[in-house]
Amino acid sequence: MIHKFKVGLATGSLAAACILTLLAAPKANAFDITSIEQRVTEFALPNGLRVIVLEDHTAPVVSCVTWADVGDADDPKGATGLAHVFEHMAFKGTSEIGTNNAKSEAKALEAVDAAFGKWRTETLKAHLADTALIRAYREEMLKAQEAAGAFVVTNEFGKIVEENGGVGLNAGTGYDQTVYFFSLPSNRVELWFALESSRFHDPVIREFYKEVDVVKEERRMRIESSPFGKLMEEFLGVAFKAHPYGVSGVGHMSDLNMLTREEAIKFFKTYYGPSNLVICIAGDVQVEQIKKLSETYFGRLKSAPKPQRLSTVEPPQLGERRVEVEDASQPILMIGYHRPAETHADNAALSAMADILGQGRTSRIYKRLVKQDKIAVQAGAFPSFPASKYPNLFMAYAIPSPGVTAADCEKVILEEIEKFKNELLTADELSQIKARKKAELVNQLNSLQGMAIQLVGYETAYGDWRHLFKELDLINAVTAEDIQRVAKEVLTGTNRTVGSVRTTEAS
Amino acid sequence: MKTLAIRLTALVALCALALAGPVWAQKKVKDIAYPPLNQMSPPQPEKVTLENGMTLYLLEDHTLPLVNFQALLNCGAYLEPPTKVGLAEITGSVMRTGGTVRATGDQIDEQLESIGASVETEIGLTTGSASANALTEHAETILSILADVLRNPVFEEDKLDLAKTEQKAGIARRNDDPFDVNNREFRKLIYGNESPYARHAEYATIDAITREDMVKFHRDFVQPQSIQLAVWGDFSSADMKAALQARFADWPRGEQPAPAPPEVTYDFKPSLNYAEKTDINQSNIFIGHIGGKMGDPDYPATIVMNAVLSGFGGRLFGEVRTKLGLAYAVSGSYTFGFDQPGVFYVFTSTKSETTVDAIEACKKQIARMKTEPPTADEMKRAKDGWLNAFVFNFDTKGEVLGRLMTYDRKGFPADYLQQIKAGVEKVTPQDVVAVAQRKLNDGALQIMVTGNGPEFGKPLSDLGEVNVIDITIPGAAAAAFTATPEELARGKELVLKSAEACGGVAQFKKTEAMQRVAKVTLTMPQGAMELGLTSLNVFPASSRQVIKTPMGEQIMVFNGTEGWMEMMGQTKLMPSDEKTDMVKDLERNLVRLFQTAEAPDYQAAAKGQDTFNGKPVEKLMFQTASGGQFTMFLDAKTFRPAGVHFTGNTPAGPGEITETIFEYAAAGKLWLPSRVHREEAGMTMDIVYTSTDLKPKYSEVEFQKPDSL
Repeated sequence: MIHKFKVGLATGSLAAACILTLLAAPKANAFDITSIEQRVTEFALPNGLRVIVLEDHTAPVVSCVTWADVGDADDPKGATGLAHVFEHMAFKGTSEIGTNNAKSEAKALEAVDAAFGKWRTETLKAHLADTALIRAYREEMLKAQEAAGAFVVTNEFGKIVEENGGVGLNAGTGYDQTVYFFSLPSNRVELWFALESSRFHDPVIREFYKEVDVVKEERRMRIESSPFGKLMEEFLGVAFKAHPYGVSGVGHMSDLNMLTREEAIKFFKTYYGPSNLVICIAGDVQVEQIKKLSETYFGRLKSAPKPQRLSTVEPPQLGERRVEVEDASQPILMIGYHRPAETHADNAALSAMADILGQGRTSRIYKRLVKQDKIAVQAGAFPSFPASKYPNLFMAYAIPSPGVTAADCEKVILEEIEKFKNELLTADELSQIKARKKAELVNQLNSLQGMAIQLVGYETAYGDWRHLFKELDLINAVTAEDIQRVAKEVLTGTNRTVGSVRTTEAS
Repeated sequence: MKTLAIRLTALVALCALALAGPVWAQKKVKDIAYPPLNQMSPPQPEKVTLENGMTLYLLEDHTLPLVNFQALLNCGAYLEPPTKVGLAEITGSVMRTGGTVRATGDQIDEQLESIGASVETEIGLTTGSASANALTEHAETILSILADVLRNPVFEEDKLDLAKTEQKAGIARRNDDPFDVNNREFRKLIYGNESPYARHAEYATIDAITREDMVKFHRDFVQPQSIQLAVWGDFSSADMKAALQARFADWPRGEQPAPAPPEVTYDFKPSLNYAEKTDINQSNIFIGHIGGKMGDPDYPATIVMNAVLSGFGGRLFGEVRTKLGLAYAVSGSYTFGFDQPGVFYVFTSTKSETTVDAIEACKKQIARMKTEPPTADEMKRAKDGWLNAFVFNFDTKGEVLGRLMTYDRKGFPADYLQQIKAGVEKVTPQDVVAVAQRKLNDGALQIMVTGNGPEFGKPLSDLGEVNVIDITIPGAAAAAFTATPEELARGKELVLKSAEACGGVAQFKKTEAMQRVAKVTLTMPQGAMELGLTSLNVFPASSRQVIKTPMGEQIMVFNGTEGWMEMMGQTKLMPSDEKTDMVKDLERNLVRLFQTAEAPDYQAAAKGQDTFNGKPVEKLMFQTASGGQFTMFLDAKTFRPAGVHFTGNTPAGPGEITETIFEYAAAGKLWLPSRVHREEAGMTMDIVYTSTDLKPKYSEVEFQKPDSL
């Protein structure tokens, strides 16, 4: 081979032929996903907590994830934003971490709650409220807050994580789930167990009202000062008339203003029982070690009934819905079609539909709007928004080019959608979808934290983490007829919500 | 005897308890004892330097059937001329999207996406990158494409167009997000408005970029001796080395080394700057000054200082967010750059009302770093934390290789990070205060605020003299069209009146096509030129213009959707920005406006009376179907249009254009402008129409796009 190659260099074609054989031969044993599956172990504690362990000894690190099956969709009425606020609270510590005197603090916190309660009750009297009383209660509340603050050891939880080499300490609240994660050098995995179990065993909801102020800033940052944020909130509100996917996840300002610590505690008791949590430890650990640590630290969590799924089902739309946000910023277009939850049999067909319609430079929507007509600088589709546990939305979107309106882009996207509905995909297109899905899956396996999050997500959604590895089979089984049937069912005018930003002068 | 028995029993009982099995009790966090960390030596890549200077780094990893390539290109935007800001970025993107000698950009897209692989390129401020990723069985394909894209890009005009449109969209949107505004303006304060490290593209600089510019940039700066290529994944080193040699060894070494990134001269002085955005209720704040260069001996102590200042348990978070509840996001860092100096910054965002409070809270923490040494707890978090997290610098192969390439490129030893670690181990609380005193100049802080000033609780001027920064985008489209129903009704009435004054709507409706011949005197700074113009309009949206210039004939055709130009035997497609201009031009055509005046596809709003060209006029503002806007002035006595004002493409980029109609002449039953004066930046035109044919002969073929395009 080497000899031929040296001779071949003089004549380009020979060299090319040799190069082809240098790298082309695939390994005798093609990649076997079960080899990854073999590194995954799962067990449950008597109190209902499920634990997944993914062993990976490439580097002395461990990524730990807790997935709580609760999200913005579970916010009580009048208390939007609560699930997310609780997520913030989960970093405030316990009766041991974050305070210099748990008993005194508990009393002080009750005093804050009492003052806030009085302020809240009086304020809700609206036009009949006594404004002097409101001011007085506010003063009392601020004083009580300051007094309680004396017992706080600020951010002790986060500090402990960071001083032990923890990285990526964060959490995220979506409509379906709340996920907590950080990574540690693998010899300190016990620390994760000690900290994580303690915050779901004995959280102390301290600095509540101040943290709600922080969440309000987050709302201002993500929604009120962001054209995309504004559009998404309006859009979801219009697309969903019954299901909480249409309700603001970060919460309405008026609800945030009135949230109480008592509600947060109640929320925790309802939704953070061990049967509603799945944890994953991924990295340089041993299963037996993790079993012992799980029993030792999480064993103390008291069982609680697993909360039920939401009963509200979004009814079918009776006609197209539209919302136009007037903003000084440039136009944006979002189109959504109601579709079933991810666990529905048609999920793979819907993913395939999103792939061909709008993912990548060769997708229908990108090709037409960006390359051909040049009316958008970005355009595409994705299969699920804003979440997928319950029926949600199949989405198409466009960022119009300068001088082009959202309406211009909408017209063309709808044309491409009609074309898509009326033509069956070719065998070639189908095999390409599968090739892309396979590459995507293999790339996902490359990240410890990414894998951990996937595993707990699938375990929660399907009761079986193995479903992650079944995705490829499901995509492989999708036919062109399936995709066309689903397209015709879902991509209809009546089923559609259109949201856009229209540029107007800044006021 | 009894007592002994009891004691013995107790002892036995105790032993039984002890032997019952391991009693696993939860430990308090501070009592947990940790076993030593498993030592895993960081991956060692194999390094190969080709004769042409290109350096290769190979690292095998057979865990997953994936192959990754990552090339570091030693060139950047600092190399582009100031009149063409955006050239490097566009070159970086069109290198990939614009096809190669072997295949068009679209063909490459199809090829890659059909196998779930990717090849991407980009060029930034001081470096660029080319990366590729695929399953093992496609390694050869992506290597072939990667090499092709690096060596033989052809920069298709079509894709240059697309890149320009994307850039312009970015310019149009650059004030939509307050963080973008604030970050951009802050960088200009630090590096200077004209600095290559802070300047940004404008419509004019984007318009100035040609395909030849990109070809030259690529030829001059994307050269093998300035490229490092890392490969990691599922391959055999011997085979991969040979394949890389085959693809790159015969790439001729470049002739001139690229100039190094320019130095920065910084003048430490305080400043307070404000950019207004009234559609937000939260201020975006940056506070800081210039940072340092990598290699600075203060780096280890600064690492600890940064960790005390920032992070979940840091001083900024603890005070500004947790104690005061002023912010969700707050952080700060003194950074060191490899090419240009870094930045010292503190960043936060807070509701408008508390803008000044948040700034003061941040400044307090900066000052505190210089006087209050970190406590033992703070040192534990900052120093121990960094040391304990050290292992994460080596947990992915891509990260390890990327770092190695950067160290090699800038002449740092391969174990530089380990040297830094040794330095961090020695840092004391006094060192942290000392480095803060050396590095943080809190008497010379530059503050950049983007916010809604009228809603600030305390005025920004409480903090000092405010420098207001104008973020209006030069050459941007006119303000948005707004009209009351009364204005629209009166507007429609005036348009109909004007149509009447020029011959009547019925006559205009009959005019399906029109050909006009004109003499044009074009005056530019370089001198004046006489041109002949024959303009054929097929209403509503097609036109064919023949311009006779001293250099020859130029033909411009637009058929409603496509446009093209012929000159000196060459035919080219009309670029998208010219098409947009053409559409707007045709929408402004008086015949078209009048023929649809009863059921218009445009909106006309009467905006009151005004003066134009010294005469009283009725002012009308129009918004057309394509979103174009223009202002028309109707003679207050005759109601014929006296002039038009709009934004369009001028020789100096997008700008204001005014057409004054001096005379009307009869053409059949119509009255049309016969003498027009047009003014724009860099050019005036005097147009005298000599003939008008309201039943011109033409062929449909003239409006069909040539097959060659």
